[in-house]
Amino acid sequence: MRIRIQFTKAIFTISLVAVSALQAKASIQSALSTTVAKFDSNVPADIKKQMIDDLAFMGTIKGDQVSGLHKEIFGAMNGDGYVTFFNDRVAKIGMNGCGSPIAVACVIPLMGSNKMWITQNYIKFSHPQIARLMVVYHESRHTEKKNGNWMHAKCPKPFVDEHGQPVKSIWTGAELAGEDACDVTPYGSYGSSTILLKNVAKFCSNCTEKVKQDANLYSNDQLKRVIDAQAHRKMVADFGQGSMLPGQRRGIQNPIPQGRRF
Amino acid sequence: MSRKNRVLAVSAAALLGAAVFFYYESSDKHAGEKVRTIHAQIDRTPQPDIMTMAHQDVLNVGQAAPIAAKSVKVLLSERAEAQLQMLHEILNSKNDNDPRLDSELKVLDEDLRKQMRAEYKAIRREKLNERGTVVFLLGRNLKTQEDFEFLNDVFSEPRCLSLENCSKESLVRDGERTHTSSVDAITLAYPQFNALLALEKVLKSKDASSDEKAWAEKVLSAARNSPVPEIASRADRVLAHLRTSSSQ
Repeated sequence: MRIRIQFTKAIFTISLVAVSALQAKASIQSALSTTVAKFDSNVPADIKKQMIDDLAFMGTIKGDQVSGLHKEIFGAMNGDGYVTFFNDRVAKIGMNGCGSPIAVACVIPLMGSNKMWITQNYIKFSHPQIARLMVVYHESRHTEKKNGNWMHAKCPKPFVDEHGQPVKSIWTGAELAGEDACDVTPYGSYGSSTILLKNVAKFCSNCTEKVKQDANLYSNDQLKRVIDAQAHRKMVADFGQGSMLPGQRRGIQNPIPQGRRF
Repeated sequence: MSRKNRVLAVSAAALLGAAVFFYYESSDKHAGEKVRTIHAQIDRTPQPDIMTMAHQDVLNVGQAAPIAAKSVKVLLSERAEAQLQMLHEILNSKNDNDPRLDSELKVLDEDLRKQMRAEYKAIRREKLNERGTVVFLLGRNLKTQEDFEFLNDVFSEPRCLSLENCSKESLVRDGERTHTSSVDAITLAYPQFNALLALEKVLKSKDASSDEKAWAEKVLSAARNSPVPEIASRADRVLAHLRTSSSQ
């Protein structure tokens, strides 16, 4: 009888310890994990690893200040916040050609608006890390069904820069006029990813000089895609600011319906 | 068995069951993430360690045009060897936020810079981030005329015509071309952008010597002939601003 009692107590204790240890392990893994999004089984290991590593980097970013627009969209410069932003929008990640041999990632609302599709170009193309993340966060914005997926606007005709020169793809020379490749709001995919990178460039306290320089370089070019004068001015003014955060984030409720492509 | 012991036994069994459940929950076998490779869709061309290629005489990697590289192995100090090894590790890791980029790799001695310049030429052209990173690091250590001449060489490179193959222009004419052209275009000229930014910093720096500024200005002047329009026009703007500032 006594042996039976002691045996039962021992089993109880061992089980308690085992459950506690496993729960602790799960918590630690969860804390270290940068994404809760499920990868489809056909996502190759190397692509999956790169994406996890990239999001892990986002999860480490810190800064004491952010601009007003960053505060509205992303909240604080806080790695957890950036990862939460992504995880709140992207539940699944799968492989897809995205309709183009040069695509890196896309969202196809008809195939699930909380799913991001990535292509082999995610690792095949040698983009700097922050540029890859700019694409990821650009696409994650397109999952927001309540905001009309932040569809792009048609670039104007003519489409000229501040020097009066036609805005072209700086490499292909293809003119962007008339293409669904612009935004009319700071809150769209081009705008928000530009705001993200500009803030990383200005305020990240634990980013390398390379990351910050890259963030500035890529965001400067993206800024040209925000064609509404007021929106553009708002962003330029925003980048000159920096405010200490009280720490509250709110969603954007009034999307401006735009064009078709994303 | 008394009631108390029955309760204890049931609790123990429940806890044991929970432990087994948590074990399987955390196991990768049941996470649905087992990966299958789809060979038909994915380019499985093995990508060699880009930096170990640097000591081979002729490199012909993947679909890129062959790059003949008579790489010179410069005699390096122990510290420089360690720095070079570190650089190889970081480039292969694709972690641009490795803090060593700003600590151990901040200051590069002349021999190391010479070795890095040689290795740069041996890196496959499509490895734009890797090449750009080397230019970035060297761009922080512009001390001698050779350092500036290297940047001139970077500006003189033929255009990289596409991200998948620098020797071949992309024939893609779909909407993605304009959707992501901002990102792609900068990456295609990423080494050149890093060279440009390094020279701008020298010209703005109060610590740069007059020789360094003169060399920087000379290289920027040559960059106005870059085959990349954005590089050429930006070099032009920087020089125009410089002349305006100096005449005031």
